[in-house]
Amino acid sequence: MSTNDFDLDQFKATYFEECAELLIDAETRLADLQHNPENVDAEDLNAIFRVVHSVKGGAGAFSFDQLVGFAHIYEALLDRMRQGQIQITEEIVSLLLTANDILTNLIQAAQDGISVPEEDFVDVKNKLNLLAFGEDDSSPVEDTETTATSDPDKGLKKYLISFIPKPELLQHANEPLLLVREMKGLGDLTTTVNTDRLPNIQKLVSDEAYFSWNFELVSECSLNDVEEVFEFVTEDCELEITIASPDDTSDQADTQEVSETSPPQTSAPEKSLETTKEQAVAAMQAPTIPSPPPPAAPGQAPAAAASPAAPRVSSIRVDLDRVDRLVNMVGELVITQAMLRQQVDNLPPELAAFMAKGFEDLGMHTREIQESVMAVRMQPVKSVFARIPRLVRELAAKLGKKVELETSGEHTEVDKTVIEQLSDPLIHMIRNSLDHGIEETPEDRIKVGKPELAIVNLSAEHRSGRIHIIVTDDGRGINRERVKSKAIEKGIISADEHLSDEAIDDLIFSPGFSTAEEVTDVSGRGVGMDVVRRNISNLGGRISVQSRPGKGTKFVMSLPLTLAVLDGMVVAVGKEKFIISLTSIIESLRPAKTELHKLSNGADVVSLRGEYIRLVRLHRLFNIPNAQKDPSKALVVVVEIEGGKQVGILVDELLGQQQVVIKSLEENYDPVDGISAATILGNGMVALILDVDGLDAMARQVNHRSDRNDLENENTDTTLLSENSKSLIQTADISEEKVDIPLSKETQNLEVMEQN
Amino acid sequence: MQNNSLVAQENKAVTSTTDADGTELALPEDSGQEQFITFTVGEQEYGVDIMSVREIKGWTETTLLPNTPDYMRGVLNLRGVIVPIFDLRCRFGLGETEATNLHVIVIIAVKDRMVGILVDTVSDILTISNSDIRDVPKMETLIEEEYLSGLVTIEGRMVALLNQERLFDTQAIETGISASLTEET
Repeated sequence: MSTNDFDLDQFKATYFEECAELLIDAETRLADLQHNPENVDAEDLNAIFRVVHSVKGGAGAFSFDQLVGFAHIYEALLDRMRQGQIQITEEIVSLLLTANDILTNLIQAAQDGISVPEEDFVDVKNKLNLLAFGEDDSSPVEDTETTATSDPDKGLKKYLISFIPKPELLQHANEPLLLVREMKGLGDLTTTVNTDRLPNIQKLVSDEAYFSWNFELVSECSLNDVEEVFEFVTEDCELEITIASPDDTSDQADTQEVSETSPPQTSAPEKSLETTKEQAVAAMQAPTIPSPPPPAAPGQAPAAAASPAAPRVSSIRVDLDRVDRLVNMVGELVITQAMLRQQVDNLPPELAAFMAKGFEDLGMHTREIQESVMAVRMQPVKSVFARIPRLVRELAAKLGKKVELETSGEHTEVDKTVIEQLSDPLIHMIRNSLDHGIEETPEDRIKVGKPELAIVNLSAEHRSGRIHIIVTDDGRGINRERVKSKAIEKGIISADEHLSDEAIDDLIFSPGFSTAEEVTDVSGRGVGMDVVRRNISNLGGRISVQSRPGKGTKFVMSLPLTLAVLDGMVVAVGKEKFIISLTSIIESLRPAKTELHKLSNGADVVSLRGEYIRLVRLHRLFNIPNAQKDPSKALVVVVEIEGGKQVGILVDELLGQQQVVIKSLEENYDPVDGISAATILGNGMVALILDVDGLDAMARQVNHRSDRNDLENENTDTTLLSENSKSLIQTADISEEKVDIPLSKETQNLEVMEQN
Repeated sequence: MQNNSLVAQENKAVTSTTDADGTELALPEDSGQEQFITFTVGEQEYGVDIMSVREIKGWTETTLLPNTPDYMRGVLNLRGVIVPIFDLRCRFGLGETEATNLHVIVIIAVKDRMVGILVDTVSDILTISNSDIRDVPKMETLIEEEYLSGLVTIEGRMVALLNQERLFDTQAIETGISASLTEET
């Protein structure tokens, strides 16, 4: 059936998703163990055990045999560890770490539908096997399986079992039906049920146990085996087991026979029981996949329920699409609300006053909804950080270095969209730190008086509405001499250029720069830190480096908390409105005529406190008519572009600061130079978000094409760009609503915001 | 949402009629018919496949995109989605439309994108047999030749059927604006 296949695929997807989460949990807890092997938290071991158990359970349901096989051994070892039968040593912990890595590989392989060659992990498997099962004989602790098989009692016996559950039995998530089934597996079973306690239907409580049973079991098994069936319910029932000779026929006159397959006692409470049982079992059993039956034998269900309960999961899994839809709708709501708010101003004063109060509340609630919805998308960076320890382990082993990773702030939350984009740059940075940052060998470190074990620190924190991710190492620091000579050699800087230390450090982000003497397979695959910087700046973030020779290097990534909304400055050029991201704005000012200069290549510059900043004339790049062309009468918004350079964007005026919802322009149209995305303003009109890096590139091209300059001459404006372009002419009148209170045009050297 | 379900229904109708190998083959007179929405630009009448039409709305002010061809009339906000608007008159080289409130924007789906076309009026819904559709005669290098999928005569008027995929999907080719872009298909 094709529908079944489809369902199964869906469950598989859920399973792998869950595996990923579980592995992250296991990895984190293993890291705890590693740091503190003497003082192990039992909960950690239990949690890792549960993870492996869940992975195994799900794998069984989908018949990933290789995965099941490995998980089983791994689980067995963990089980012995948590029972205290195996001493936790560093060696064991590192074995566990390796086992976890193999488990991850096997899950990945299962997901890709391939199998891993057995020899890849057979060593570890054997080691685990030895530890988990090898010492069984010497272990005095009873093992249910061994006792069952080594039982000396043979021959048929007849057990008379009286089983009277207490009312709470069902509430404790036990299921008599499972007990009956299990006994049936032991031998020939006759069941009689006593329904005397069953009350009137009005008084019936659905989760109370009313029935009691008498069983006659004819079997070869030992008394132990029979008792074991009831092991988990002994506290919730009155149980009496007597042995009679097989031919003994004692009759219970006042009881009625009940077919085992459809016992009425369970049918009533079953529904309500189902949920509680599932919750309790969920953490121990296979992942919460609704339809395939849990792979564990039915008899294991009570066992699971009786074990210490896993911490309650108070979260739900939601499709990201649904959240996105919600975010979109809330964006619309915010826009509609702003639109209505503007209409209120047009009402007669007495009505307006009345409406104003309502709108104030509405505005507050909308803001709150927006914040809450955005919070739904927020996730701790833990999911990215959790992959790093393994990376560090593998790299350190490969490079022959001794490295310890310290992490902090993994609970710092950031939008899902950012999380997804974060992984690659972060991995690259960690690779870089291990490969280039840390000294070649442990001996080298000892020589310079440092501990053999190098430390790489990875941390995350919130700072002024952004997330900072910091990678620090205590390695040799940036070798500025070498960086500089390399940069000269590659033609990135000229030989006579004088650079500050910071500027030299910054060179490592230049395209085509790599100081590694030889290309290793760790980093230096032709792509370098320039890619990291580009990726990060694509996210609206920045990366900087601080280094102290011989002491270490520190990389700081600063990223916006979300890619769905942006704090923007609304600016006007002619009749057009544009948004400039607030994070890139340094300041805005109106230059005096004396501060404006022209270079020989036609570029305009403005001098600002002794520095020269290139002007980008937006009206010219975009062919906007009726814009203010004289910089001394317009405003210059100084923005920071890639590489920490500054350019001044010439605009008519600032209209105000606003949080905007980012909308893709490319969804229905092609990308447009100088525009990064679009948004919708309070009046329902689309406004374009400027791509300042793109504008800078455009401005340079225009300068190349034409060295004519037109500070005064307005006619040349329209001829500078390609012939296909047209001047922007508003074809109909619109009521020009200002989005916010216009900032005073007279303000000179207006400091919009200071970047810290 | 209502709109969507309608479209879904229509799409189903399309698949069932165009599935020539299936049982629908038994109803040739049915499968050979298509419906078009027609609209006028000046004197000329054009038609687009009704299945691709998502919405028809009056002209509203758009936000102009810088450095785009003349016929690209900017973008507008269609319930939170940014939709580009093309001026059909201008696309056929007849000058820009002086858009007023009486002008109409027809929102159509072109592959997985949504675009709006600015026209003068919407006139009719036509049901046309495939056999009535005539090829566009080979003329000089008129733009129409390439962007029309056929011609149809209804009650003495000629209706030109648009090939919207050619018309708007490849709009970048001529202008070279985004020639460097790699289209993911």
